[in-house]
Amino acid sequence: MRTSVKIILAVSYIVLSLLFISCEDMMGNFLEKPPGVDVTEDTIFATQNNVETFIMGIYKDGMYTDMPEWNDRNGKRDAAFGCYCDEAENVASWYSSQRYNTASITPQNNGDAGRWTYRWKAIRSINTLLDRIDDVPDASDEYKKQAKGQALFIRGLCYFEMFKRYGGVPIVDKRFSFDDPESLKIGRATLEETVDFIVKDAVEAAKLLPDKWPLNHTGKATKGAALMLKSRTLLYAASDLSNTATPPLALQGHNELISYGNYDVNRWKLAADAAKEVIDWAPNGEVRLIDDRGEDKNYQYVWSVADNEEVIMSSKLTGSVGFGTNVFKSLNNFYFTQSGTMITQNFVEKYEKKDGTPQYWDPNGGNNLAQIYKDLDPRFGQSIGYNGAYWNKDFPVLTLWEGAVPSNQPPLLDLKTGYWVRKYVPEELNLSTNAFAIWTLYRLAEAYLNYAEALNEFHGRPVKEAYDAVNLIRGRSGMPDFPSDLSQEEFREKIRNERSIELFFEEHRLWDVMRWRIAEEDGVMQGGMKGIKIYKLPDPSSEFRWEPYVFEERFWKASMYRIPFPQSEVDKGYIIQNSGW
Amino acid sequence: MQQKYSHIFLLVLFFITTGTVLQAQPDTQDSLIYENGDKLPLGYNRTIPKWMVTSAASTLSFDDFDNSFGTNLGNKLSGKLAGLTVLQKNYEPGLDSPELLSRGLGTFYGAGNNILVVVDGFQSFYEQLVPEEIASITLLKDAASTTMYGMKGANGVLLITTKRGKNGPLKVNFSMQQGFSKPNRLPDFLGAYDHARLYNEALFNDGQPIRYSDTDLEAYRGGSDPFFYPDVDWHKTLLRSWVPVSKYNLTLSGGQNSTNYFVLLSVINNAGLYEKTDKKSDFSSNSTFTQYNVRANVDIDITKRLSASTKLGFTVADKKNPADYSTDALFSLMSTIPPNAFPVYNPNKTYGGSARFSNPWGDIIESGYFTTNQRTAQVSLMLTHQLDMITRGLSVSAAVSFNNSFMGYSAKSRTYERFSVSRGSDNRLNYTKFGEETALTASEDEFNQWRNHTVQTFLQYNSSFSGNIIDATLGFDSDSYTQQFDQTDFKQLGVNGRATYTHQQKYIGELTFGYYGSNAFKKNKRFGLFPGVSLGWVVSNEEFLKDIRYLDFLKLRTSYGISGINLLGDQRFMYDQYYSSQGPYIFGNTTVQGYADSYLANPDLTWEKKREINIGIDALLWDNFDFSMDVFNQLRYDIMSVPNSEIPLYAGIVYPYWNIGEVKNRGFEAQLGYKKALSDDLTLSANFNLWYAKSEVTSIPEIIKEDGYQLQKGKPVYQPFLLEAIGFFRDDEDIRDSPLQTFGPVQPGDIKYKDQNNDGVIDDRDYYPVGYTNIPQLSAGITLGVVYKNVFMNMFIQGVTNRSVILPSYFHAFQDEGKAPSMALGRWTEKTRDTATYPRLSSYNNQNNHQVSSSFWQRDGSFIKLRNIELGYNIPGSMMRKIGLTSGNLFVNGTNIFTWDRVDIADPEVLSGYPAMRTFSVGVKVEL
Repeated sequence: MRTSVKIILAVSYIVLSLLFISCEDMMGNFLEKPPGVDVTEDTIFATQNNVETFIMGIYKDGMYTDMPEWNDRNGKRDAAFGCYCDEAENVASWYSSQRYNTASITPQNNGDAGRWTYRWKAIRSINTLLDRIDDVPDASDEYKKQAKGQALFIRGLCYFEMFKRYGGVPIVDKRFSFDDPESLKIGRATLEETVDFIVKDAVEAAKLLPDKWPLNHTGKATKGAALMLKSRTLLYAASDLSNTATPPLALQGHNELISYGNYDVNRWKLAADAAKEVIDWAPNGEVRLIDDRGEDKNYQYVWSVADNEEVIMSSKLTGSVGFGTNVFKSLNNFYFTQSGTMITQNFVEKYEKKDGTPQYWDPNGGNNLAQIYKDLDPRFGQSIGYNGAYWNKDFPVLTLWEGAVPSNQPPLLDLKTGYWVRKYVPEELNLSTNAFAIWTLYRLAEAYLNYAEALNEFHGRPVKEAYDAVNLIRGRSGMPDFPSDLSQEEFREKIRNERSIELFFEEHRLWDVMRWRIAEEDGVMQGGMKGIKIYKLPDPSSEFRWEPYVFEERFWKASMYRIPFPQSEVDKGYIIQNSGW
Repeated sequence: MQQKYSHIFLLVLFFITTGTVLQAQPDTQDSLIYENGDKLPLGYNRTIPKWMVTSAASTLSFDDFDNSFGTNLGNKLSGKLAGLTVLQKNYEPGLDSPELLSRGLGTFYGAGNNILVVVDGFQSFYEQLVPEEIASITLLKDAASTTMYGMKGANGVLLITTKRGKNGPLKVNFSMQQGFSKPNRLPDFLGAYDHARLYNEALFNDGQPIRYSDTDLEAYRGGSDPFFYPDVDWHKTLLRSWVPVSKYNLTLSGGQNSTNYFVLLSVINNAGLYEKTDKKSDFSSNSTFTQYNVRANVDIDITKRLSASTKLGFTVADKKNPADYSTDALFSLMSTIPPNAFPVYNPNKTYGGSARFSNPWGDIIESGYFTTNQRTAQVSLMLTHQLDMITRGLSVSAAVSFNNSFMGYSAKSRTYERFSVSRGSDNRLNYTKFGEETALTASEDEFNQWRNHTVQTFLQYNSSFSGNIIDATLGFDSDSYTQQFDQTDFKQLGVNGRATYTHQQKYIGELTFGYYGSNAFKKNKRFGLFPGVSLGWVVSNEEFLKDIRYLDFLKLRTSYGISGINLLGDQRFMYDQYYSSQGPYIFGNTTVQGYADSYLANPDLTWEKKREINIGIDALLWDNFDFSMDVFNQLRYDIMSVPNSEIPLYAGIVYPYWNIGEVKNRGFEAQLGYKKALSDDLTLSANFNLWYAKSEVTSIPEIIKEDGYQLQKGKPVYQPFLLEAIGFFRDDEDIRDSPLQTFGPVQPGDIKYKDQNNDGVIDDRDYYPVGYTNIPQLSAGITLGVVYKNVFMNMFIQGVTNRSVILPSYFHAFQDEGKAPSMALGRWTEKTRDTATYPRLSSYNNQNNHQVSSSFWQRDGSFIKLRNIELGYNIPGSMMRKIGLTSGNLFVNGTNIFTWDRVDIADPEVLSGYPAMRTFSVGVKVEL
């Protein structure tokens, strides 16, 4: 028996071990992955065509400059931005903007976490591209140069978007190696280092990028875009929020992460020069201010015609889409009734009269609404959907007065302020027709406004060049020049107002009020936000009575000047959270 | 190829050697012991006598099925097999697939805990099978018994064996059952008057002007104006109270000489829950489900040594539904529309509707219908050749199997007009239109398909000699399966084996192994060895226990093994880094797909493993008490998890899965059976089972948080983390004195949460482990049977506890413009602040009360259900023979008749969507 057991064991051992060793060889092919359509890094950098798709991926991840309506919202861009500040209010209660309005954002819900992920993904792709682009065998030197330029521009843009939100952020200029987890623990760079990094990328990109792309490449970064990035970055860096020794809320022992640590007037000089550089470059890129469509149409032409001559760069994340998509549903209440953007009376009151003087809005209301509207800056009618205004073919005359029939239907349903937004709502959009979502990133008018603002701050008074720049923008919309004898403060007030009107709804206002440190002022990010109730006067009068009222009380806290990093990111222990969070 | 033959040669050599060595004097007595008695299938075509089993398995035979009514075999297993948890998530016929878990939750990996189901030896669909075609169902639980399934076995294996014909004359069995199903509990909502009254209150609470005047409220209360003051109970409007259901079975079985056969034809029919929709319009259909099963299992002895066994199972399942594939959207709509939103029909007979809601009645009548057709085929052929000429007891088999399931759909859809009506100043009615009247458009396509093909070969050997029994098998197994849209098949390849040895019917030893490879992993890291060992000691056969008369049988056993699981979901081929499309960007007018790297590669990725020790006891006492118990302790390790929670996002890339998770899972199963004929007229039987499993995550990548209670480590798998509700804010003073809640502005009557970390702020850090998952930790089942003369009665009761459920969204009053459940009547008001059971009402989406996950909406999910109760009459044989039948019985059956639970307001298993059903039926069974 014992012998027999030994024999069995021996034979079993031999057979089984042979089986185990060679099972894979025997039927190995059975488990091989068949050739497929898999794409690896080497595939990408094998041909110029493949690199092109990789660059598309970089744009796709890197061009998010908005605030998302609700966490990530599928990574699509949308227009809820104005609702974060005094420009507007959204019908939907669940938009992230409502948490800004009530100052109830937290590190867990600031809404930017999705964008945080995308930006870093783009930056990694960019670092990969910079690493590998020279290996592409069939790419010309010219192509490689332009590819690097685009990559550097988008890296700069991603950093700018983070700089204006958070202050200093980690500087990642090479691909991480996961073999060395310690290399991840780099922490935040100072605000100054972050600004310098953006400017360095922008300057380098400007050297590499063309002035203009052929028609079938429209939308790619040009030299002008890189110069605009530099201009905007330096303007923000010179502004009160960063260019100071005392940030609104000190970050114990780490103020350098959220400010320069001193005030230096020369930063305004850098900002002015950068803006001037854009203005000087413009003819090379065939970019110009639109001033030949008529004083009452120039402005609308600029926002409604894709890639017109004034546009330096625009986002192309969204193509032609329908009314219910993320881009348009936050704008309109007409076709998608669960949201919609209402412009506040606070903002409407910023529009001057056609003669350049402020419009008087009686605190008790009045019977002259139609007349008031008629007197306003022509850009008002080209931006706002007010009572009696043309909106589109389906709604040629907006009836926004109380009792307009039927009152439970658009456009009155849910309306709180008396105004809908009109800017960026395409004319052709309706229930059955898709429209192209235009979203301008940079246009030439901004450079003039940046220039005027920076000059006034640098010289301590409005110099002639500052007047010229701002009057050019006003003049083409039929508005008179600024009075010629303004003090620095007066000019500052007026240029800020001008900027809010001209750049309305273009993702500027929230960041502008933050860099000017005026967010806590009553009626800006805090206090009563006004709307009006409109009543039709009995026939034959064609006038309307209006009554202002506070539709919402808003709140602000100083910590919101630098928004919180996502809590999950701070919890990993590498990043110092901003103050107050 | 050369090499392949050499291996086969080696294998044959191995068996010949083994056989020759052991071919001492065969002992007829041992053979008898081996051949007789109940046998238990243990996978890969092997059955061994129950007394020889040393691993943990529970089993169910055809006789254990009752006549309870259902369309899915899975749900009939609920509570029947010790250790098997059946999670029924849906009651909609055709979509009622349950999740099956063996020994609770063993892993936290997303793709899961799902059990492997094997039908007649091959991985397959099983839910379409009917009890009448099933011989037995066995659950293999411990690691040692599942090692032979390699990387598929760790979650447990359910072996389903279909019936085969027995030698003998043709036996014809026919049964039919007719019944009615009725919703168990439908959600209970406020009527229009209460709705309007409470909505006003909600608006008032929010500082908004009220919407309904006293006149309006009176009109709702009076209900005299159903058009302008409607009060619609959509559930009542759309659903009928009883659904006719029926099933028919015809089986033919028998065999003579060299051929045995079993043939089944079966039909199940559900006539649909909607109020006779098909009669109202050409564009509609009821929600019906019909399933036909056909089976032909044939065993043929081709020669004296060569036999063939074919199994053909075919199922046609046709499902028809108005408007949509499933009823989900409709049930959710019915649970949302306020009762006073609009009438079913307007005064001019058009459908009511609004901008926000479509009309559910209109939806089922006018929007066409959706038909899905599922065809499932299970085909297998096995040839077995006895190799007596080499050595006695040796045989070789080869089997192939093709399992296919295909589902296609054919949909006819259209849109229709709804109108909202308002009364103008001159009393004229104004109609506002929503939707357009369109013609039917048709679409037809495949929906899903699934196919696999398997090739298996076995060498089997059994022999008995001088008190020793050897039973051994060595198999080769290759399996390839594809689901729709998989670009690459899931493939597995390997060998497996088992050797069982017993000595003197006292000592049993068993070795098992699986050596398998999967194409999901990198070359040279594809194959793994899964070994198992188990031992048994039949104590009752020892001399020293021979004298204890009440002890008929006692066996102690233990097992230890390592099994694996490679349910990877979409995470295959992670050993290489791939770039994937990121969606479009537009340049000029061209849309271009952008590429980026999707995740980092992990070339070392491997399968998840389970190490398990099992100790068990089987006993038969006083001839009638059958007892068995198993205690297990398992450790899952190498669980695939992504350490994203540790790697900063500024790394810019998705980290790959790593094998870093660990879960411990411990528990027991116990079973006690009793069966005795107390007299010639009276037989009693009872079966009780109880099982428990509790998991503990011992390693999971997660951020070390300041607040230790937020760690998943140390908690059961899928532990819910909720804000702990501790009542309602009493008044402003209470709010001032309480920690600051950061989810939105609060006012008296809002839910107050516990400040777990005492930092004075209620935020995401105060989420706390509260309650259990929806998978019960403790389950029990009791089956009772009485036969008195010709009358028989039996019942089955199932109970579970240590389980929690979350109330679904329709319990949140007025949220998302919805309606209010009856429980909202207990809302907080200043007067009822001491007795309120529901937070103060709000008209908008209230973050604090309704949007955050809190224990307020969690309920104890324990329940006891009377799953089955049955009363029947066996028609006396003499009477049957007069009409030419052999035997027969009549019965009345009730399925899911009673539920005792703590949720009360909804079925504790299925809280939303198609309602849980109870069924009453009558049936007859006859044998020819």
